[in-house]
Amino acid sequence: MSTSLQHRHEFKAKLTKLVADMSAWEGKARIDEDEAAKIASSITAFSHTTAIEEPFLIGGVDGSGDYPSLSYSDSFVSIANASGTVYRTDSIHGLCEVASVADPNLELVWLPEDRDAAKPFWFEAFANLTGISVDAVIAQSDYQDLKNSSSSHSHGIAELEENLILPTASDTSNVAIQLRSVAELGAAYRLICHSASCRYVLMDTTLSLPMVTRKQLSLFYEHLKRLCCVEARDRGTVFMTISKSHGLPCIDIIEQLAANASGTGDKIAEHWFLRLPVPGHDDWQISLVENRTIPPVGAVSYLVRFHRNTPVVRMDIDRRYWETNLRDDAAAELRLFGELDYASHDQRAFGYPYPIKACHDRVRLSMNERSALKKQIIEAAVAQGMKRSLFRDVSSATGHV
Amino acid sequence: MSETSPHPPSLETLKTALGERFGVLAESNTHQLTVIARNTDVAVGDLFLLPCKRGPERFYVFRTTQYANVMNRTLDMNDVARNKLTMLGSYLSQDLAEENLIELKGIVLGFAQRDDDVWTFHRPRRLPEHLTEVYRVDAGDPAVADVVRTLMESQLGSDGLYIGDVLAGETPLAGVRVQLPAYALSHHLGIFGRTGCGKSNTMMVFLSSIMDHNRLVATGERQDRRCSILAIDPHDEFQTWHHRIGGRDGIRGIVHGYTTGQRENLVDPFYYLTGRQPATPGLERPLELSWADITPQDLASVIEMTDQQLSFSNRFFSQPDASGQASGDRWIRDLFDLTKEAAENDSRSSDVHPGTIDGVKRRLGFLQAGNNRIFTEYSPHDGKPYDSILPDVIVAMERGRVVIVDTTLVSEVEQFMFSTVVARVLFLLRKALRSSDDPARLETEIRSALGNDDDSGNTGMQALADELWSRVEAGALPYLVGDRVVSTDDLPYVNVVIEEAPSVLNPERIRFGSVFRDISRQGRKFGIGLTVISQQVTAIDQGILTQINTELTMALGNEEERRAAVRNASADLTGFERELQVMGKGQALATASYRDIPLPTQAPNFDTL
Repeated sequence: MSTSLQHRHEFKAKLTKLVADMSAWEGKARIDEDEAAKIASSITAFSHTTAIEEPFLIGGVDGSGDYPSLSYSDSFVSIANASGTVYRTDSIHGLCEVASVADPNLELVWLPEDRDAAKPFWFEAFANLTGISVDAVIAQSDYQDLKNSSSSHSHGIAELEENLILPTASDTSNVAIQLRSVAELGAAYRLICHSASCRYVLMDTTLSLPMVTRKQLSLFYEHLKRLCCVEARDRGTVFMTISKSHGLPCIDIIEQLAANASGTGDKIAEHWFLRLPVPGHDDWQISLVENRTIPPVGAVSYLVRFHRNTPVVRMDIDRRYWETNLRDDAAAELRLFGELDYASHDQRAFGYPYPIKACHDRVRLSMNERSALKKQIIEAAVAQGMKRSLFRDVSSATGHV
Repeated sequence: MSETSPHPPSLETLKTALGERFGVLAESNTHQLTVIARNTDVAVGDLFLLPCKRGPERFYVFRTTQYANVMNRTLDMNDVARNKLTMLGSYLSQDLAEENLIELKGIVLGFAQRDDDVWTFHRPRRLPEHLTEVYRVDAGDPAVADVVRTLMESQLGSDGLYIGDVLAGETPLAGVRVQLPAYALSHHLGIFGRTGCGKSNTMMVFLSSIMDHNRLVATGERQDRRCSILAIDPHDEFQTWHHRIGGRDGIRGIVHGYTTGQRENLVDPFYYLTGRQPATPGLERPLELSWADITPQDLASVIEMTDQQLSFSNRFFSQPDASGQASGDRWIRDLFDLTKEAAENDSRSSDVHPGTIDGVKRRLGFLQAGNNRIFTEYSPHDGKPYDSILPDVIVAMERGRVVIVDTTLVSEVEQFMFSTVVARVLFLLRKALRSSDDPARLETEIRSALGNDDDSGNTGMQALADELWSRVEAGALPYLVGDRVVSTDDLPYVNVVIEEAPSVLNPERIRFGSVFRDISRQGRKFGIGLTVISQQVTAIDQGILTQINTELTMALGNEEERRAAVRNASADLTGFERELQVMGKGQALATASYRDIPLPTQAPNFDTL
């Protein structure tokens, strides 16, 4: 980029317009007094929890990978990996890790550009990352029910399987989203099914179901996401997603209301949660949500602040679990957030559940590891008689590292 | 397991003995290596071995200079620390994966390479390959010590003077002995360390090693020359060591352990001189020097003098008076007797300011009765003959002896004067020997060296010359073997210890010349070396420091001294600066111009040696 760009008249004009637009958006009144009062009354404080009454296990899930790692002619090779960690509460160490799922969820996925040719490889990758077949996931998940009611269309398993959205191999960003999501949710599913019996399994995402209102079309990870909810519910595990990107505008309004409610004045309030109104359950709506589907279909969403140094996060929980265990039990709800707060006191990630952070650190592929994996893939392929010259490191070949 | 072994062990064999891998080499350059290792109790100075097959089989020897606690996947430890300090109820979870690691930084001392079926040690001109495995040298494991000895044998020395064992961190590697070659005594040694760092124990170990060496040479078990050392003992420790408090006896104990024959061969005429009267004179003698042993240059070496005072003293010593006779070794008596009137009529002093003469007299005042314990008056005309232990000290030194000189009761000036005189006379005699191949000329050369030439009216050190020549003729001073003059190359390596060296080796003191400066420059040619013992490096004349080629650098008191020690060491001590600060008692860095690498050593406790 030309270094003189920022001095050009055209840039300055566009900058002025950008700031004006942002300012106008910022100044738009989002909520009225009644809504503000409703929000304020819904904000609930929980205690800074440094000790827990009843020991429990808590798992965290995260993933990484290289999407794509290499191209070979008109096909692509991706590396998907994800894993889970489990910790038990401990009065000495805070949290102690326990043995859980043995190895990271690692899959080398080769996808040819031709959609039909790629489909079996998609399904194979999904099955490998999940541990069960694609049709079993669809059959056992409650996504089908949610979709049927949300789209006003009754779907069969075969129909859903047939209409799974599978991007072409060269649509690398969508391929990455699908593979990574399935890898992570697959790791979560394994963790939920593991004999360790976690009280909580957390992962860094949301319970959003982007295609749930669409007829026929769906994403495999939507089915899997809901399967995790089903399996967790059956096993008495709380499956929750945590997203640092809550996706709401003007969060400072809520923060100020929380500060007012907590009596912290101008200081940031911490240790509070706000359950966003649930359609069909609550008699009010929060206008900040605007057109977003928050909470997602089949879920309940909370905004939570554990600590002043970490941002407000959005936590989604399976609605049926919530209805059964939390809706009418304020004490249980407080205990849940207290226990999550306890799990967020590791010195390395204060204010954020450590099992997710630990898992992130374990599973993250460094540049060197990615390079080493690329080399191993190429060497193995060449040993099978493939042409070394047709392998391309997609990112380095284009300079977009 | 040595360089000369016909079947040295392979890299794999040696590696097996090292046990579990300790860490992995992370970063490396020719300046510094970084190793990542498990969370372990470690110490600065720990030794590590890095087996490597890039090129021939090699073991790199790595020594840590820094440690740091690091976390496997945590980028900013400061954030973690801040959280621990400020966040109520924060904890550090216990992970199954090894999260708490340590990062070692340090230097490659060198590498041992196996080629032509031998392990040879090389300076650190190469680097181990990427991600080389790192093995810790476990000081408690004899098998590991054996590996280190195999790899570093050429640097450790053999058949020499034992000074201690290689130090791995805080623990010596038993059996990995560091030895100085016997010839090191004919070069110059520096022993630097602050009070309480273990210099005395180190000296005791060194002295006993010299006695061991002489014993082995005498029996033919070691093919080398004997060693002599004149060891000044300002605290009277070396003779009896801790015997008085129930501990081990010192050099006396070793001497008492000898047979009669060994005592005659290795100790006679004495091993101990003292300013007091020994209870059982024999091998322990009173320390006595004569006024006749002192020259004006000796005086200038230990006492501050002006140009005029030194010039006058030299003139009074060597120029003839009105009778045509120089005072020579009577110069001190003559000077004390020189009245103001006589001075005005004496050609040697008539043009000298009376204040200068008085100044010299004042400087010689320490020699007068009541002011000293060891100097005897020399005034043959008044019935006070030459009475000195000096000729016997020379005999002892030329026969390969350890002579301890207890200076607890003598003044600093007397102590330095004694060292100066002995060193000067030995130096002059060795030069005289080198000048004479003909036995018939040997006496002339010796007398000439001592300034005694009757034909030209130079008295010089006549009394000493007479005594020494009588000992040559009696065979006690081994300068003649049959009809051949002994070469200085056949005489023992001789070393004179200078305790509290800054007092006599500071630049101001040696401004007008010093026998020690001469010996430091030329002594090696004649087999005479100095051992400079000091708490300070900075206070010693730079010219002398540069001539020192073996250093035992112990814990030093301040940064400036440590920098000076690093700067003047005979091997590169870069990276050891921190070590000099934390070294424990008896620990030293041994550096020498004839060794490739500095060796951290621990002198054993002499009580348990």
